[in-house]
Amino acid sequence: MFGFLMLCLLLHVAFKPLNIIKDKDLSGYYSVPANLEWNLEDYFSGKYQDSSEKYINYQYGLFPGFTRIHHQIEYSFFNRIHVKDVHIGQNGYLYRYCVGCITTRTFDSLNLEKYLNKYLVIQDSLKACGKNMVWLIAPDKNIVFSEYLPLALKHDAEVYSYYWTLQKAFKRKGIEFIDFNELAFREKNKYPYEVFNKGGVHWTNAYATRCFDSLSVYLSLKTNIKIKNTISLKKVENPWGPDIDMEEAANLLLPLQQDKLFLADMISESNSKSKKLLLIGDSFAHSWTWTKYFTNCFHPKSKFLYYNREVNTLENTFIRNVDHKNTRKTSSEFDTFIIIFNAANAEYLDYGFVDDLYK
Amino acid sequence: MVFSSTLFLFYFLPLFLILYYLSPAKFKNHILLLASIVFYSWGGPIFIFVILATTALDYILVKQIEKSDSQKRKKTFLYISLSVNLGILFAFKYLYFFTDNIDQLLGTAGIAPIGMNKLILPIGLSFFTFESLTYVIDVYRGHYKSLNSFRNYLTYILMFPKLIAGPIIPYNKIGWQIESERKTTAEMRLSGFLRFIFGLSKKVLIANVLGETVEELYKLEPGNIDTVAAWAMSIGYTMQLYFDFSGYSDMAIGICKMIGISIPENFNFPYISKSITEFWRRWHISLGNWMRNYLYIPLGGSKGSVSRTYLNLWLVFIISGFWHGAGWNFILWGAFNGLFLMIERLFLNKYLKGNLSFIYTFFIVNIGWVLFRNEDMSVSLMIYQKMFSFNFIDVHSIDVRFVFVLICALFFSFSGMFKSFYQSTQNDELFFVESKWRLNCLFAFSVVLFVLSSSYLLGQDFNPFIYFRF
Repeated sequence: MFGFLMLCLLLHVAFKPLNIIKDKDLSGYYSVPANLEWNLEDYFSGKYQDSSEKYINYQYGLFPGFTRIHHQIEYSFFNRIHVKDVHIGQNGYLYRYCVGCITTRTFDSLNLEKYLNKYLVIQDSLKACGKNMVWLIAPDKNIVFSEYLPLALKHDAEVYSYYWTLQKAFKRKGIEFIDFNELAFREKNKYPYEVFNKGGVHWTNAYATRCFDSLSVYLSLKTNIKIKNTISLKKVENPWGPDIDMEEAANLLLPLQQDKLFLADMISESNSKSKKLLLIGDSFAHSWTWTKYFTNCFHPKSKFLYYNREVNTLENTFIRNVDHKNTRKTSSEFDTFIIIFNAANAEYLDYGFVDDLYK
Repeated sequence: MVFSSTLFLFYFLPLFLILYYLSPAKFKNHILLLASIVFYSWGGPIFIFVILATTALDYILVKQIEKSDSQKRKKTFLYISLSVNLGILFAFKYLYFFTDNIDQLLGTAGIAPIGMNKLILPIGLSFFTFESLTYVIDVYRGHYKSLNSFRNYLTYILMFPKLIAGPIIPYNKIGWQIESERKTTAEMRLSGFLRFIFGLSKKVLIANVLGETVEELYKLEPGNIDTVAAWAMSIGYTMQLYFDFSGYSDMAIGICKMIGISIPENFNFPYISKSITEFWRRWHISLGNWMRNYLYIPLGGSKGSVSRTYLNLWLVFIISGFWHGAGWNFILWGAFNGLFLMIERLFLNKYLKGNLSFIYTFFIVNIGWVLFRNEDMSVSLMIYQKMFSFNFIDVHSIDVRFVFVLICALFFSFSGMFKSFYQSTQNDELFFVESKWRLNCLFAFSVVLFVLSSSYLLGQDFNPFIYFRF
């Protein structure tokens, strides 16, 4: 018995450094503490010991396994989750972005008015040049599945919050925009798939595909861009990683109970392959860039400005950082502008793109 | 390096045990000493020189005490040793406290302060100073002979299982074990390991979990603390402290047992005590014994007048409080306990015979720990005020995990009342020989506890972001 316990203490060696037993690495983004090189000064100050102990924790062979056991116990028995900024709602739904979405804060009305006026000027100017600009609001789980929000976070945010104010302001100013929250809210129970998976921050691949098709219809109706899509849905056992990103980062032993797991496949026919698209958006646009939905419809030199910070290809390959001083010049080569931000990011509007262009 | 760390648990301990078991009997003390030096140097690389120097000096002085024929000479060496040991303790632990208080007084009189920086306290200083004193005093009193080699004495002082947080082992309880050729049986090794796992679980699964919530509650604005939160803070801390300290002692006892050394118990279900007097016989027993043998009795104990006895008692408790930390709160806490001991002696003891007397003890101890926890007296007063204001608001949320662990902690703390169970578990031989089935259950339970403890040790701080950035 004692020998068995000693073996338990030494089992980790079989994982690391011997690599006889393999274990999956932990998911989510985290940085491994640096392994300081030994020197007398750090050693006597205790800095070396502190950093080594932290480093050893991450190098310890059973670290992933024990962490998963811990996280599962905490989740199953104590309703606690160990991912930054993630909350556990009811019925197993996980939530993030709660601060951005469920807030009693909102825009300064004067600043919002200024922004909308600038947007209208730019939209009209582009229209006069035969170009298009479309504002899309990606759905947010806090809004679409507000019924499962943790009790502590439930309150009547509709009156305030950046998203609701922006939505009302768009309508008041007569600015055309597509709000996928409304669509999701209306139709969330009609689909065979989920709009959001229990463990996902972002819209599911299936719903994002549905929304892309909706965008295609809008563009076909309102512009000279014609896109026709053929969508097929496939029920799957293991969802696409981004569909359960919170769940993956939670590093649980057991998957969250989830039915209706689907993956979509879409073939597009487009008359706009010669048109250059400039997509400005947040991580919700990834569901369309990683799947190459835009790539199949627009010119290969189209670009994606991630948070208006990074210039990427439409397939999400980083090119360079955004040059905010020359936005007008660099944007002139594009024919279509699509702005897409999640409702929780409404506070930041388009992350300064319209301002840059207006200057 | 603390016992509840990956480095200790999965690298240092197994390596030490393997080397220890594989080495011939005559080298076992060498391995133990080497491991202890490595262990201490890791946490206090500078202070290892302090401890080595004082240990060497004590060793020489004690040899001189033993050799000396004249009582005067013996006394001189004793005083030199006491001065050096207590002087170092004072310099590192208490000097800043005194200068800080003097500075405050000077400040009120408009005089420039002395101005002194706080010194870093060498790890385990309070513990090994007291142990050194037992060695010097025991040999001086002629109760025991000195150790026959400096290496053995160094091993006694530096022995890593008890170095950081005790128990404070008097020289007479361990000196002979260090000098003798120790043999460990399979039963000793196993029961030691199981004891270690229980200690680790107490620390990691109970104390750390309770401590996390207590810490969060202490961060609340006073306006957000109501009676429920205040009681959760105080009882949570009461349990945290017990499971932390007793867990550490269990781990120390367990490691010692694994290497064939028997060290005294440090806790015996203190919260089931029927009086504060009894509580101090069950809480930090090794300190209580030290205080009795090396302070209370030399002060005259209870042999003098009644008032002198009370004064001795109170003095011992104030010093005991001050030993725990250099702060007024510790002195107050000591005085608070001493006061109840006096009251009990005066008249209360006769009323504390019933089975429910433990409620009184628990209540008083719990109140005392609030003082112990907070250096700032105003915080303690605020907690007391909230505890007894019976004001209930709904702005804080005490999570399920805290409640669950607190219930478990209370259950284990009071389970000492059910003597039949513990009577059989505390006697190792009886336990191992007579009940194979029970051993198997205990073993399986220990493995589960080990996995849970390791998980909590490693997983608690792992909170990744979902992506590199959103």
